[in-house]
Amino acid sequence: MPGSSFFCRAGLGLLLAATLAAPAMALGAGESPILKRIAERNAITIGHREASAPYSFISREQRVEGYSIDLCMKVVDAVKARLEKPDLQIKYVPINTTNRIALVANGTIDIECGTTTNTLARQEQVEFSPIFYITGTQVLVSAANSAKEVEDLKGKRVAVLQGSSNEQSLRALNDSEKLGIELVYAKDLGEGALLVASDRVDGFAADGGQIKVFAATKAQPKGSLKVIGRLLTYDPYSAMMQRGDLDFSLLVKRAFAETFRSSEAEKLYEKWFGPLGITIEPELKTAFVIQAIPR
Amino acid sequence: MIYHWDWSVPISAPYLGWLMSGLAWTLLVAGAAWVIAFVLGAAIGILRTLPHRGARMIGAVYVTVFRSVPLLLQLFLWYFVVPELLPASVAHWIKRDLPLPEYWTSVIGLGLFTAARIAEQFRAGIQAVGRGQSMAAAASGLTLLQSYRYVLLPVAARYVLPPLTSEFLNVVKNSSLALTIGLLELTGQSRQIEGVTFHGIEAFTAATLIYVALTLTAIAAMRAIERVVAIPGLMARV
Repeated sequence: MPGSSFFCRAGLGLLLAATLAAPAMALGAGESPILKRIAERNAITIGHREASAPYSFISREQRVEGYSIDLCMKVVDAVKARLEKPDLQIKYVPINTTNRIALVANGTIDIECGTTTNTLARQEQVEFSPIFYITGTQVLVSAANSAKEVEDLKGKRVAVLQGSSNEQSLRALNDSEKLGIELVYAKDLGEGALLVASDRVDGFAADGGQIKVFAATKAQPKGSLKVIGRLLTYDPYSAMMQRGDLDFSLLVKRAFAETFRSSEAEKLYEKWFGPLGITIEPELKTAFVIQAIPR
Repeated sequence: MIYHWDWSVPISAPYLGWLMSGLAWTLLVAGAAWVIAFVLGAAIGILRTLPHRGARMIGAVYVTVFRSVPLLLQLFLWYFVVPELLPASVAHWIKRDLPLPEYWTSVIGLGLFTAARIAEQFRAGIQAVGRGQSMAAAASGLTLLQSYRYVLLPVAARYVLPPLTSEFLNVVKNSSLALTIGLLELTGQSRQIEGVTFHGIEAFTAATLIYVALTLTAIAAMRAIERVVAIPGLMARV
């Protein structure tokens, strides 16, 4: 009964505003199934990646950290304020590309904070937060490679991640431009990079941001890998949550808009990417401005 | 569970084609690995029963090594580590000129691993024939080769058929580990479909049904073989 819930909430909001002058956020769980179950468990469950530094990963101290995680903490703060539960617990569930959708769909995870590309096809299945990172498919090659664009790898072997959006785009490009690139299917980012480092393939096509970070932090020896090429695709990252909960989705949108408006998002970017020598791209800066929807 | 079910995904183009291609690779990996595993496994199993200390040692070492290391790790070692230990020219050939390197690495890795398990089953089968039979064979003037050829192996082969069925099913299912070194067999293709459509549950269900159909077919085929080759009075009635 969306109609009656609207009036209930509107009435309650008016009551609070008029008589108690309480903050408009502290509405309780309302009709939101996700907020209700968070209140019931007294815990919010965050889905995270185990090794997607610096977005979402487990640190040496065994803590879940990263740029995506820090942004999700803004959502956690908003949930705490809304439910008036300052001591709300945070539970972490590690996810991978195979189980993430099922765990979000069946409600094990309240919000997924990783490196998931927001696509319309995926929106049939889950709800996405505002976009907090923009990348696209680029190619990791060894530093000695003279190729400048993916077309320069014509007829060579190029690794892609199984089931990734990069794989689909490279396959399409390969077919349309008859590049004759032989695709090799890597299981994860580390393995794709290992394929390049061990000279099994000439390049590894993946999300530009992630392979830049890999080249900057994990290449052995340092400087032996580099990232080339224009952005072949547009891959915006968003946090995932269960579909069909407009209240929770709005709470997430609000938390992100506040973070984008206050330049807090830019500071978080600087915190995680600055040490790697990566500065914020103008596209992402613009995305922050555009998504800072007015209150 | 808030999930938009769409059971047409695994049976619509192009995803049905992906699953079929995955099925083909699963069969190709499992089939070729089975040939290696059966031939080598039988040979090692026989080695372990020979009246020569050295031969038994070789068999024991092989079985111990290949049975003690997880298959996932073995595939990883064959794919990433072994080529680095070889001379540069050989390594380059394996990495670049060998056609279908993921396929052959999977076949060899899975075949050698399964051979260790089949060897133990053959050893058990030969030993189950009993000392009496091999002594009787020797007493009737058969050479060692002849006693194996005409007495021990014909009976042992029939004894090991039921456990070999299980081992064959294991090869089919273990072939899914080939996706870790980049071979898009049935499980790998299901992951591909989940990545593109986000309808992973449907894709994995379809893959599960295909695996079940495969194993049921294999079980029926092995049962038929057991019946055809049965020697009346040799095995206990079930």
